[in-house]
Amino acid sequence: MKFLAKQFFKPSFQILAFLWLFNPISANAQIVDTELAGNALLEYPFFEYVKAINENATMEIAIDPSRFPEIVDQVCEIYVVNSKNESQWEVDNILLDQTRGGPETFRFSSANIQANTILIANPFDLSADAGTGFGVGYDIVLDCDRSGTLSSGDYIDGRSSESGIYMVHDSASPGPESVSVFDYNLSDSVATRFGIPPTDRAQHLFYPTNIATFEQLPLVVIGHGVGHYYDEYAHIGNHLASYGYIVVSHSNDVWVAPSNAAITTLAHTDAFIDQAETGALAGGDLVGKIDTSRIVWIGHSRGGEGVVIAYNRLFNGTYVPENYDQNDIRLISSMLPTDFKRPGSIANPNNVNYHLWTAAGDTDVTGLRGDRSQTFRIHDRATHFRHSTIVQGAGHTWFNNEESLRMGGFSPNPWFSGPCSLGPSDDIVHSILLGHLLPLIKYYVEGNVPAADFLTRQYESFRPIGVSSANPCIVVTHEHRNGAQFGNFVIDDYQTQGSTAVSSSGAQVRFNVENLLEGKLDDNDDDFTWVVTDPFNGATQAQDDDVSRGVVFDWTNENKFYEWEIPVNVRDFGQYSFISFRAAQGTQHPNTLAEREDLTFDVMVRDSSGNTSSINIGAALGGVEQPYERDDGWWNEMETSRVRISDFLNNGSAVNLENIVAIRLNFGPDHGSARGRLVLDELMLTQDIHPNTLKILEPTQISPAFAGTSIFGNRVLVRVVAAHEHYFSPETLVISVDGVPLNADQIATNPTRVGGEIWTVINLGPRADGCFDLKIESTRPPGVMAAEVDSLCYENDESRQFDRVLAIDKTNSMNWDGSSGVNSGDKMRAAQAAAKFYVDLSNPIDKIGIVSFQRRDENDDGSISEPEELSEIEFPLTLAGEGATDQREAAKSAIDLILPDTSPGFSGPETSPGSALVEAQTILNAEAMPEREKNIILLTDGLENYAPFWNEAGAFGSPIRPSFRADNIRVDTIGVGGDADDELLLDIANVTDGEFINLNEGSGSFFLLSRLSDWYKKLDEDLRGEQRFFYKEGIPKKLFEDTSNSSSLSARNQHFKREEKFAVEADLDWMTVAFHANIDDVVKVELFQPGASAPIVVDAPRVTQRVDPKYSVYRIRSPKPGEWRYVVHSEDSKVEFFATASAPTELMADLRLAPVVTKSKGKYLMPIRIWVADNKKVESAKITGYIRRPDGVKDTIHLLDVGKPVDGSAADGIYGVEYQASIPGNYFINLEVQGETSEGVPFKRFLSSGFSISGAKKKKLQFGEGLNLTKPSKQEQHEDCGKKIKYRQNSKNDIKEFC
Amino acid sequence: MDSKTLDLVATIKKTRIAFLIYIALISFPQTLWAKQSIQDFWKQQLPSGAEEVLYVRSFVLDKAYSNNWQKGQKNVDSGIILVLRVKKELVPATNEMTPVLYAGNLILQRLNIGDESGHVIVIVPEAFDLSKEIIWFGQPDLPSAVNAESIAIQRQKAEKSVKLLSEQQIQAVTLNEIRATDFSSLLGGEISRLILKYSPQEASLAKQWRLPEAKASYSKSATSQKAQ
Repeated sequence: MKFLAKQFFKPSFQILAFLWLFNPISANAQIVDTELAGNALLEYPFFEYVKAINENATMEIAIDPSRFPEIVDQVCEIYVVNSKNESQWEVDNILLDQTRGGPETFRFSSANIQANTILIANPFDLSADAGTGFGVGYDIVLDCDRSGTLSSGDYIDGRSSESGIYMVHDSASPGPESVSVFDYNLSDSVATRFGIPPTDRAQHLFYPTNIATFEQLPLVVIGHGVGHYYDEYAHIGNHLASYGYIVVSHSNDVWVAPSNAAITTLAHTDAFIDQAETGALAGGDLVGKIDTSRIVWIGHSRGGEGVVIAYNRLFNGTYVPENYDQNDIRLISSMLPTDFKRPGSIANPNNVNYHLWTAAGDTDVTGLRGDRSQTFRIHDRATHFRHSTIVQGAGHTWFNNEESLRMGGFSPNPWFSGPCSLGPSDDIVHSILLGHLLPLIKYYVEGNVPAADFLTRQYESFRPIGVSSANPCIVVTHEHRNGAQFGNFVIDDYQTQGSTAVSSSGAQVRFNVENLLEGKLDDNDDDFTWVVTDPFNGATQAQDDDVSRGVVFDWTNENKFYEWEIPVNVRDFGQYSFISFRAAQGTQHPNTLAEREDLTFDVMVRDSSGNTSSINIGAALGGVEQPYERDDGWWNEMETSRVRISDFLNNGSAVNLENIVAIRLNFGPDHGSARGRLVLDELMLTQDIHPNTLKILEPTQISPAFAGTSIFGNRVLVRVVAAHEHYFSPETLVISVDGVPLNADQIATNPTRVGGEIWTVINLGPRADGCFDLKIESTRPPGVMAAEVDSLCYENDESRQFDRVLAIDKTNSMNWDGSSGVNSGDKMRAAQAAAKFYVDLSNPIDKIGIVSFQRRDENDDGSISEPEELSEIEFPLTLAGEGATDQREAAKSAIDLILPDTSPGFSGPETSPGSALVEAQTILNAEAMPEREKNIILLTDGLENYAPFWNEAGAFGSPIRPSFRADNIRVDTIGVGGDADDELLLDIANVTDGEFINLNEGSGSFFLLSRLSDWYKKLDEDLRGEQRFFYKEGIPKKLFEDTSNSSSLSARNQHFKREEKFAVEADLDWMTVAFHANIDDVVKVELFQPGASAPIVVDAPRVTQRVDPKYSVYRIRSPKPGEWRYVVHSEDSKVEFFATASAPTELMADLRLAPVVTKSKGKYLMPIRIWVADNKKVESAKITGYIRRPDGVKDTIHLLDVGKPVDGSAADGIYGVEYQASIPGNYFINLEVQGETSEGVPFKRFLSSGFSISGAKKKKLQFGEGLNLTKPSKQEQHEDCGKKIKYRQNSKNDIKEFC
Repeated sequence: MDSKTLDLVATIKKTRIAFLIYIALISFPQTLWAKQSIQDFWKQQLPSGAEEVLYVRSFVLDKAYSNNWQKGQKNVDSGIILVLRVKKELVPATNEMTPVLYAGNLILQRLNIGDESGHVIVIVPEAFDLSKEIIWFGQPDLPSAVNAESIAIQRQKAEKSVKLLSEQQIQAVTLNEIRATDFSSLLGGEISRLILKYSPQEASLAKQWRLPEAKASYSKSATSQKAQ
């Protein structure tokens, strides 16, 4: 269906963003979108593009002439204009500069980015008054034709709904709203009803006085700790209420245990909403004013642990409130929390957006010895979005507002110890607290864009205006992990793959740093003094059953490095925004003591051509923070560093961001700190997706669904994923097509949570040709939506035309049996047979092309001329035709000639699937016919050992992956044999929306030839939108005496005539019936319509038939409903034979595989799901089948619809199983679905698929290839072989043994 | 950020170490030491008894309340209010675990901290003979975490070192039974009065328990203020 995406293509933001960043479009042709606003830096990359600028700071813009060469020598006017979104720009492109001096005029030079950096706004030039919002958005425009309008050739930062830059005011200063404050006790009856102890009924309420003019406002609930009171958080209450929040701090039952505090917070939140809605609070001001879908919990000390336990209770269902649920908790912020780790009340934030405050000088919750106050453990248990903010020089009671302080005195015990105190007044800590809380909450609750800068940029570089930058004691560090379900790739978090030479993502790690060790982030002797036996001294992120791990190493006055190889499927860094990692200085280590300052080093990326680009983590100020040197023990203070990926391109860096093969950290005198000890963790790539983001996974504009024809509506599975899975309930999603919400009849399966996604099956009914927009909108929280334009496509099937190229490996290894080392030719013959079958599955209006690949001296001139002699066109792309114009026989003849050249003219690797892909792509794209669907089936048995490479530059230049990613060709990939490059083939299929399978020289009940042919048939069904409703393996058992003496059969077959029946439903447009045997001319089949005594007669175009010695294929238009039958005449009942019938049907069953989950070494989980629907969901189907393991053993599986996470809700028509695997290698799935339609009619469907678990041994150069004829050892021969059985292939006397 | 600002920040970073040292010299690093000393004190002193009983009064409630200091919670409609003078080191206002206060095998419900006054106001959740069973501080723990077994083991040890309160002293401070409709009324009445008398530093508690109750007819009397 990819062709349809192109046919109706409309630019999407993501695609444009990619183009803007990495492929600047000619300025003559287009408006160029790029980042422009930010701050100059003193060192490479010389400029930081940002989203937020304090109103008291200057604003600069910069553009790199090496990335945007068209701007060189242009004189442009630089405008700072009020922000507009794309549609507003379309109707109003007038430029009105908002700075005091008007637009700057500047001639851009070719020198470098420094020479093209311009100051465009002085402090307070631009308004930052956003009311109760935060940040005033502006777009930056380089008006290079000086037309005073945004027009072709101009450059803009901020044309989308997100502004180019936001001017922000002091987040530590109060907002514009007056605040009403109430103190009260909940009534005894209300407290009792909600389970609040009589001692803790008090609430302190803050809200905007002017609340009547507001829509519903978010709610912030605060719980205190021991020694604190419910009314000690007025600084937070007033601050947030002045920005339009309802804030209530409550008395907290903290003495008994944090678990009691948890119940108090749960109950107070519930009771508050209840009482506000009844009008019992604030004179009824709050009735209807609380947005209960946006709740923030803040807790202090034991209350800080309490709010986390509270969420855990919502998460595990042991507490069920009346007025809100788990999904409504948008953020938890724990201030200096305890962590008592009591059984049954573990402070586990699970998936909530979690933020942790730590006071580095805290002597109450010390974080030091013992197991009750190491607060970072709570942070590290959070599984999704998480932040940590450490305030050096701060004590425990400076986060609240003690009575004594309010009375003008100081706290009698600030619970503080350490140098560089920020007390004794709590003013400084409060300004840090409030200045950070506002953007933190705005980010999570409102999706505020500039707020993200406060969470992610180092404090040295960016902080609230109200927090002094002149006081060197103010040291704040941030740890931030984007936990979105999509848009992130963790390269190494040290949680799996224990070897120091392998990252958790499975790729290689190299280093020459010293004393390197991976392990749990745990000070193992609880003594925060450095000793060699405690390599993670000062680390408190994990203890006992906590699991956080990292790596620690050092370097001493020498240049050293630590390098990660990048896995093949994520080397395109263009799809990410930042490289991010967290790091801490190893406390008290001699190197840390020797360099008492922030540690700095270089982050370097290297592409496949060896080009590199480096950015120092201190370029924008900061680094890995110097630990706070308090009196008794220093913590490892983790701090996140982020490097913007596009910055690596600055000033003509030759690095190719589309193919980064390694990230290296360079340490030592030439790269920053001369010596250091570093704890490192969580290296990841991130797109910085906001948690309030929905994304449609299926269907998409790039990969639309076939939604039907003008007379027939197909069922379409819609898969949605939320950046944060629990913030969107399936029930709150509204599905629209072309702007019209679907009615109940158009939703076959209601939205339901399946794994981490939401699934629904829609049934739009028939429509005219064309593609339609799909939109998913959330009603709670409101305003969040995802859309995929042109993702539901209709086209009358009769006119669907396919251009299909078969790319076939013919290297010498294809002749050799990988496990036995016998020169059997079996793989080659199987590939030929399946290809020929596929040719005959083509319709006359389809085109067929054949490409083979083997590096060889094709013309025997004694040399290999590349790339011509890597692959060749065996049959040009040709219309299949029919009758006199039929080209299919010619194509099949060409296939017969595809054989390995056993004299390739050299000795060495022969396999270059890339050359075949390029060849196939070239012939498919030779004619610009967007209405034709393009498809390649690539079959290979080897590793990619010759250029052009899929994901690396090689002898022929760039990798080919990007061009296929940008193309609209579906590539299905098939590996045959245990040495095929499964990861490569899987990535090719994933990138091109195809499907990958490795048939492992025979899968299931058949061996390779039959299974391969069956798989090609399955691919043909997928492409045509057919459902396989009949499948039968083997010659029908029922033997009967043939008395008909049919003249159509030879006499030798008459004794083996057998019959099988299958049901055909009414109103099918067409039906495909195919019969296939693995041996030529051994089986003859006759097909009978319902009630007919004579076989069906070919009557094109109503009934067509393609025949071959191994198979016959019928295409029958408007087949007669009822019981069809076929009669098989065979002299051999043991021949491998299968029969299929398929058609586009109203009832659909479709299979989806999720990525394999690695639980631990040797333990893998494969979630397998099937959805079944007609006009409604189809319940009570029975789904059984088998999975053939790499060792040949078949495991029986059953898919159930019982409400487990793998299968969504019970009885929703979505069935699933989590298959547990233990052996690396290739698995084949074969399933039968049977049941009754929603109208009670029996049905069957047959589905197959496969998956691979990486880690199986592969031979780079296979036996046979490059004429390597060294036989494999016996051990190799029998590797992964469960048992040997005899079988026959191709001819009746051709008997083999096989696994 | 302009170069001037960058220079400034760089200068700040350079001077930070010197400033850190200066501040370290003038800061007061006493509290962490103090906390460790308290833990040492507990090791040496526990189990330990109350110094003196200052107030004893039985109470009866018309409506029972759920006392969650006891394992599995306990509906309490009568008990005893005590005011005890204790060693301040045993009742710090910390969020760490502190010594648990018992009457015999019962965990006492603490109503205040008493770290500054040295006076703790507690509830004995049922009838209890003060003259026959000890009032004692056990090992630091969360009250929710102790169980009958650990209490029994600790109590055995406590009985060797903790003396019974003197009967004479008990009689001297025992008042007539007090009756209240519910525990909230008791908190807002007699117990708040005790807070103000015996631990005035914690007057916030009394203020809290005496706040008006939110009702549908609750009159709007709060002040509106511009956030400061």
